[in-house]
This record gives sequence, structure tokens and C-alpha cells, in this order.
Amino acid sequence: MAKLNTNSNVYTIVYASVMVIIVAFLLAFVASSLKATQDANVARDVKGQILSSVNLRGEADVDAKYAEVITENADGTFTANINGEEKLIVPLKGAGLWGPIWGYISVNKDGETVYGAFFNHEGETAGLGARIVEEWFQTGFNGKKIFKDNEVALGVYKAGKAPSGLSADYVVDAVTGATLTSDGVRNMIQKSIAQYADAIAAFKGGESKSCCGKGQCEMADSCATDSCANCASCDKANCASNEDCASCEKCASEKECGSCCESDNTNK
Amino acid sequence: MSLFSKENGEVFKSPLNLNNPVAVQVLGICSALAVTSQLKPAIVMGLSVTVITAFANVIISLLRKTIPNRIRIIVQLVVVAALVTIVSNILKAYVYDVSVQLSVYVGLIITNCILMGRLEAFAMQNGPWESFLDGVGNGLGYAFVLVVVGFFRELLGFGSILGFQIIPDSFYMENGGLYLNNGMMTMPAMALILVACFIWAHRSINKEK
Repeated sequence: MAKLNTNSNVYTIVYASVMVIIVAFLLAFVASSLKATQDANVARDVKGQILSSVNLRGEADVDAKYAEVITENADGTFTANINGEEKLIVPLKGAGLWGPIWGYISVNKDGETVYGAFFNHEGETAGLGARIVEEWFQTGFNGKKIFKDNEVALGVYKAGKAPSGLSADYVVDAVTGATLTSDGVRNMIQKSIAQYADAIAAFKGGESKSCCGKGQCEMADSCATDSCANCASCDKANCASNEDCASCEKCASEKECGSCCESDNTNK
Repeated sequence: MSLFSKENGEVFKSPLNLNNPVAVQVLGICSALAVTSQLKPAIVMGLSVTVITAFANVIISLLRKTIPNRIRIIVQLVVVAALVTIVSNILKAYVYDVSVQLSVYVGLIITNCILMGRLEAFAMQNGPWESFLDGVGNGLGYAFVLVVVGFFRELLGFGSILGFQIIPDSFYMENGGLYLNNGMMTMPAMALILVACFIWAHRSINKEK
């Protein structure tokens, strides 16, 4: 066989064309034949992310748990039912240093306290910005407060860099070495939550049903009822051991807890 | 020529030490900066590059007699990019967790100079088996440097190894101790300084050779 002249123009052009066509066909074939499986994985991953935002991480059967716990709302938010308590999950979208970041944050029935949070990213720096997906960072949001004077005050700040006068209830520590990603998380939280402020207000139901400010009592109209099992009843004896109820001592004369806490709230 | 002849052993072993791609050829420095702030991404990246270099080497070696000289770099690039894209698609369909972990590195693998360097310098002249050994050897040589740098950056920068806290909490300033994590270590610049230290140590040890 005569040796091909691999340096001729015709050979070069034909070689390049054939190679490109083969590679294009191969990639298209692989991508389209695997698309269904990939989409299923992505959908399951999103469900897992939403579950993570209500502190259900690493569930074995994500689909089943999701169907059990989460209800999707028309406005893009989700309602989660955790042991009989409702949480509102708000989706977050923003920009990190290199690309998009997103997440979900769940709010207690009081429309104020963060129940859990989840963040993810597309291409933040490994070991620095990418650490926002790690559990220790996300659990740092649990129990933080969102609104201050009807503005979203919750934010991620470097130690000592939080605006003065902002109490620790609103501040989450930033990730070391990832200032720009942390700033992105803060902007994302503040903008996205502001967009859903109405949904959160509606979820809250207008009036405060909270008893003594304790999460367990959110659902109870009055703390004296049995539904307040965790808070028992809010008469003074029980409240004494409960830091949030300590101020109930002011109401020592009142046996009825509901009114006690309500008057306490108005004092604040 | 046997599969495990002395020459082939040399092809495999020399990039691990005397001809290390990072320490001697000074290739792949950019990705060494990006992924070594902690040990785990460094290991994942090292293994990914090893696998891709080995298989890209084999493919180019099989095609080497047909590749037109003037467009050989483009052919190499297409092979690498196609290989990486296909692998990442398969991972995404069947081992989703791994693919999420690797997503950041896919782009970095394609642009890794070690890959192109080995394809151009070795696979274009040698048979598939030698090229495979060369790819694995260079990948592991690269992974070794990444692991060393990642180990020190994570230990000194975060006080942990693979995410496990090594330096006791009570040593830290905020808990009344005298120790503070070195924030410099989390910065990319320290990776260069550590690579330089590695090269220094490497040259001192191998002075006579």
C-alpha cells in the first residue's frame, strides 16, 4: 500500500472534517441517550436540596420523603410539614464570584426565624467559595432572624465587619478566604427574601400565634392548650425554666398564658 | 518487547520522580493553585487527570500515524475535550454524586498543560501501551505534588485533614490557646510558594542525579 501523504492539503481537510463529524455524532449520541437518566438525577438532586433546607440531609429515599413532606405552592415557594409544623421554603437565586449560586431557606411559622438553609453553586473556588455547600456553614443559619424594621437584615459577614447595631441574631459568619462568594450569598438572601416578603407575611397569617416565642408553640392559639405540649402551659411555674418565657414573670398574676405572652409581646 | 520490560518500567517511573511533570517540567501549575486549598479536591483532581491523560494518550497513540502534522494540536485538543465531555456525561447519568464533585474540575482537566504536553511529546511517537504507562505515570506524578501541597495547605490553613479537625479546638486563640490558622494558606499564592518549596526539596534530594 502506498504510504499516504499525511501533509497534503486535501488529506488535512478531509481528516479534520471526518474527525469533527465523528466527534459531533458521538457527543450528540451520548448526550441524547443519557438525557433522560440525567434529568431524573437532576430532579432528584433538586428535591434533595429542598429537603436539606428543612434540615433533612442525606435522606435515603429522597423521592418518598419529598412527597411526604413538601408541597409546592403556585408562587414558587414550598411548604414543608415537619412533625406537624408548617415551614415556608423560599427559593434563593444569586451570583457568586465565578457563576450562579442558589439555595433554599425555610422559615418558621412566626415568619421571622430561619428553620434551615441550603446553598449550592456552580463553579465557586474549591476549598474556598465552594464551602457554602458544606453543612457547618448552612446550619449556621438555623435560628437566625430575618426581618428587622420590615427589611431583610439577615446577612453573611466577616467577623467584625457586620454593620454596627446589628445584633448577632442577624449575622452569620462568612467563609474564610471567600469574601466575594460570601458577599454573593448575602446579596442573594436579601434580594430573594425581599421578593417573597409578601408570601412570608401571608404564611405568617397576619396575627402572631406564637406563644412565648418558642417554635414548638407556633401552632397553638393559646399556650394553655394541650397542643402546646412542648411548652406545656405557660403558667409561671413552667415558664420559669424557659428563657423565652422568663419575661412571663411580669405576668405572675395571670394564669392564662395566651394573654400573658401577648401583653409581653406588646411590651417589646 | 515484553509489556513490563525495563524500558517500560522507566517510562512509568521517571515522571514520578526524576521527570516529575510539576516539579521538573513545571507543567500544570495553574490547576495546582485552584484545587489544593484542601486535600480532598486535590486527590479527586489528581485521579481525574491520571485517568484522562492515560486514555487520551492511548487514543492519540493509536491515531498518531494518521494525524496530519499541521493540525495535530487541534486533533489532540478535540480528542481530550470529547473524552472529558463523554466521561462527564456518563458520570452524570450513572454516578451523579461523583459528577457533582467533579463538575468544577472538568474545565480544568481539559486545559491542563500536562495532558497536551504528554500527547505532543510522547503519544505522538510511541505505541499505545507505552503511552498508557506514560499517562498513568505523569498523572500520578502530578497527583503526588497536588496531595503534598493540599496536605500542608489544609493542615496549616484550616487545621484539618480531609475535613477532620487535627489541631485540637482548645489550642485556638478564641478558646484561650495560642494557635491561629494561617489565613495565607487558603490563598492561591501560597500554593505557588509551596510548589516552589517542593521543587527545592526535590532538587536537593536528587542533586547527584
